[in-house]
Amino acid sequence: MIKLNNLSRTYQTDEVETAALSGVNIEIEQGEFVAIMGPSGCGKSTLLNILGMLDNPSQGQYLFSDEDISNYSEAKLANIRKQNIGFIFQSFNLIEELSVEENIELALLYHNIPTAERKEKVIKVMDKVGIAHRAKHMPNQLSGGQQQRVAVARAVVGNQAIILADEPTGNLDSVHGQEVMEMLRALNEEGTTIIMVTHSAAHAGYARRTINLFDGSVMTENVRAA
Amino acid sequence: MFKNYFKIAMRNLVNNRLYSAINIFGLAVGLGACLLLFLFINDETHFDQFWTDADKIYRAESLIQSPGRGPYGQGFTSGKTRSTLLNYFPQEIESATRFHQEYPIIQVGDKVFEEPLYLTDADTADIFDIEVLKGDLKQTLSDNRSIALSKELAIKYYGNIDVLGQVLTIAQNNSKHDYRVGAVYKKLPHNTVISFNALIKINEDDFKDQPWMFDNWASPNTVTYFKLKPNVDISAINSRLVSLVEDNVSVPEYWADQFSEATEFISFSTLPISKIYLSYAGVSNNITIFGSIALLILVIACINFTNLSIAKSTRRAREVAMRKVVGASRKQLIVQFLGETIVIAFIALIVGVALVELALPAYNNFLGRELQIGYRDPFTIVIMLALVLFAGIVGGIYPALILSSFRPAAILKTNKAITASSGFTFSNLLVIFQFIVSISLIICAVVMYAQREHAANMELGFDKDHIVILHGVGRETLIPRQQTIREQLKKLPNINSATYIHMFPATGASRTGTITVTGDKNLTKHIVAFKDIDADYQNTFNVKLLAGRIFNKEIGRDKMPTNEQWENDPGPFESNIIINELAIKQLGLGDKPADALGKILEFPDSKKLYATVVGVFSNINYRTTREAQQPELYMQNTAGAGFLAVRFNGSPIAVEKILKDYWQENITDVPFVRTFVDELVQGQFRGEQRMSFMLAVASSIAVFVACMGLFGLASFTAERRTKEIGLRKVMGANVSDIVKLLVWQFSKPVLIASVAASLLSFFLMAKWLDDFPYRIELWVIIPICFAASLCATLMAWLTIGGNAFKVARARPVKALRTE
Repeated sequence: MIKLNNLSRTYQTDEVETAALSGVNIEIEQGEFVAIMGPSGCGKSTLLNILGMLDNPSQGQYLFSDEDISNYSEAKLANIRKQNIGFIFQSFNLIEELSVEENIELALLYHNIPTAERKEKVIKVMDKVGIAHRAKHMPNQLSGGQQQRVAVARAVVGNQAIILADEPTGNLDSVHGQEVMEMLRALNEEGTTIIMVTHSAAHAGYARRTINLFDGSVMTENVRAA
Repeated sequence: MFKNYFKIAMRNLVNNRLYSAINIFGLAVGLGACLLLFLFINDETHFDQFWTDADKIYRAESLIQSPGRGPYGQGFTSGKTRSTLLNYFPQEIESATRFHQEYPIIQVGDKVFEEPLYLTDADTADIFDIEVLKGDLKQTLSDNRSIALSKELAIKYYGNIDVLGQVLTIAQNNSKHDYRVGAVYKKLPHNTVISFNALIKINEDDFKDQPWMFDNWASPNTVTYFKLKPNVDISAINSRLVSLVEDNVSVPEYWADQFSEATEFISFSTLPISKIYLSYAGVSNNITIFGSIALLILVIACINFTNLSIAKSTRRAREVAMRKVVGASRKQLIVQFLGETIVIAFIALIVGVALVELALPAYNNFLGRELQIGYRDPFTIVIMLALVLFAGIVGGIYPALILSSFRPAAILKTNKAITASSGFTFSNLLVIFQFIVSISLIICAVVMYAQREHAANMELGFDKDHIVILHGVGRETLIPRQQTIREQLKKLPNINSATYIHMFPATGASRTGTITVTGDKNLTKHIVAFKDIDADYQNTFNVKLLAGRIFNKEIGRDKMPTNEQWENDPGPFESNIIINELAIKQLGLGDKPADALGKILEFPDSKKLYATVVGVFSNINYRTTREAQQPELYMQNTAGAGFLAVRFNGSPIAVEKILKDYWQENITDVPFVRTFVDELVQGQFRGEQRMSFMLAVASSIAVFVACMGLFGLASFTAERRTKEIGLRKVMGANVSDIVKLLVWQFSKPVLIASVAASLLSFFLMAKWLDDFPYRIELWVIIPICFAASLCATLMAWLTIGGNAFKVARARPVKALRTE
């Protein structure tokens, strides 16, 4: 489903060129649960951003469903992105001015879905992540765990095939972190592909495969027996 | 401490270049516009203050009640006023002088000119300190046959100003005299109500055959100025003006049956010379309007200040919190922030002054003035500093209060800036206000322009584009030749017809009086306009004969009694007249034109005149489109006509040449002077033209400044919403979704403002249009409102769209990274 061929990403700042990723080769099949680990600054987030089509690679190929999208324009990427990928961030990234249900609805707003159907989907997904009783609340009235559940709901409400999670448990205590991981596992079991960046070895354990990055390159790949 | 404030202020200015540029430039444009309007208002309010004795010089005013006509006089007084004042107030009045304008023919060598000339008294040289370049003004004005010329006129006539002793000939009042140039003076500045090209002494002996000119209380033909003695208060004069009338004036013989006391028909008052200009129609009105516009533009610029400061306050929150933590009081913070806005306002003033200097030549050209910034004038300096303080305080007070009210704990603990949500609705209100003002100004400018176009291009009923008026045909030497001249002119190519007229069309001039209709039991007095015409009037002014006949030269009753008959014959007189359509209804003469024929109108003078209606003319708008048409009575009377109206076809330029060639070949003692009627019509609306132009400029400035503010606000908002925008994109929003989101946010206030401004301007303009009898239809204002609103909305979209597009097109990862 996803295939990176010799992919690099460099950042140009004044006179220094920094390579965040260099010569990365990764292949991810549909339905996989992949964890990406590595020390700070090794290029985890850059990799996730490129996988999520929020950023373009400087060099190399990104094949998505056998289509090379590495040089696609933002407009084209946005279209592929909204059909296929859901995001979960470490800092939740909920819009403060919108209520819980409005935040979740946001993910459907740009999909040409009739209002009634949208409302129905939002209610369904809120039930699924157990946040329905907070539907009218504003993000700052929720705990971190609740906020992240809203973020998960937002990521999956559009039935996206892939979820990219950037340290989804990084801002949560262990109990709430556990909750979110269980939720991701459940989604994976229903067939959603999950790619997650994490610092926590324990949470990486939920994944079938772990990719270790170091200095912008893939060091090792561990596959856990099913 | 101030050093620290200053440092922070300067660093903020430099770090927030966009913000600083918008603030400074927007405010500079606002302050510049204010300064330009201030210069104009300052000039308007300082007329005639440069005279050494300005505070002692007054103009005598008279108000004369006349039967059959509104009160008249105002700035004019009878020629007897001067001597009466001097005799009645010997202790109070030091000197007094009169001015009377004539348009004589002046012959210099073999050249002739028609020139406005002022007749005056010798005291003029004492009252007004006129700078004399050559000769002696007082002596010149004491001599019956001397003339004082302005430098400009001396150069026009002789090419230089060494002209003392030169002799020129002046033909006026049926007589011709030689005058010796006795003085040359420097032209008076523009800011005075008195101005004259040339002065000669009033020699009352020259007017023996026109006794009404200087010797009739009911005939105000001169302007009288007087100067008080030192330490005399004007109230000493004002309190005795009624008794002056009682002691000196008697009711004219011909009004003896109307008034028993002189005080019933005439009254006097005084006006300081420095107030005269302000008393002119429209002047103080203009000052109020321009002053308000200046203030509005300044407020719009100040609003930018306020709004950008509020938008930026989130960035300053941490600084405020830290200052509070280390012990700054709220008052100190308010002082700091106000100080910053005042510094910005001061920089803006410097830029604004530079802009004014750039704009002044064009501005002066437009106004016909020589305005300049009085850098050494204390009043101007005070005004400029006041503008800076006003802009700094009005623009800075609200953000200063908001910023200084932040509670440090909230900011430092949450580790993020708070968004002052109430501040944003307040910002929206301010933006709405800015656009209400801008859009209203646009609407007013367009409506005024439309009304001017409508009134100036209105069908007057006589094809104004093809009539030219020749002056000078009433001069003594030409009167016997009038019929010949007319017949010769009619034979020239492109000339259709020509009629002698007493009053210009399209100038508002009109002679009115009262009549009664024979057989009317109530003896209702109708006010009507009288017009002396000849047989060619109908052809020349394209008038249609609706009933009856036109005048016939051969029928005696078709002519009015001559002055001689009127003087010597006891009457009653009988005569035929023609009326216009409007008169039929107003006088109640019937329903259709034919009904009026044979009806008799009475002139209720001391000597009776019975006038029989023999014809009815269609209505034409002989006066101006500023006034409603009047019921008119036409009488055949060619004596005393001063002008010849000539109807032509083809190009005015070609016709002018034909007429001029004819004139120069046949008439040598009177210069060729002509006026095209369409020029007169255009000139009537110069006031409206100027006003709509000023409004157009002011509205452009207002829209520009408001859009600058909007641009700044949109940039800050986009920045504030960066994360939200990034997220929306991650959720699948495309570029156009985001642009729509941002543009819509700022369209709302502009749309609300459009509605409010349309309503406001509609009522304002409907009221303004009320003063015009011939006005554009009120519904025309509605599309103008739509167009102005659309224009402002498009401007706003253009302003914020570019920025929104830039923000929307950025890769979402950038937005998310600003976390």
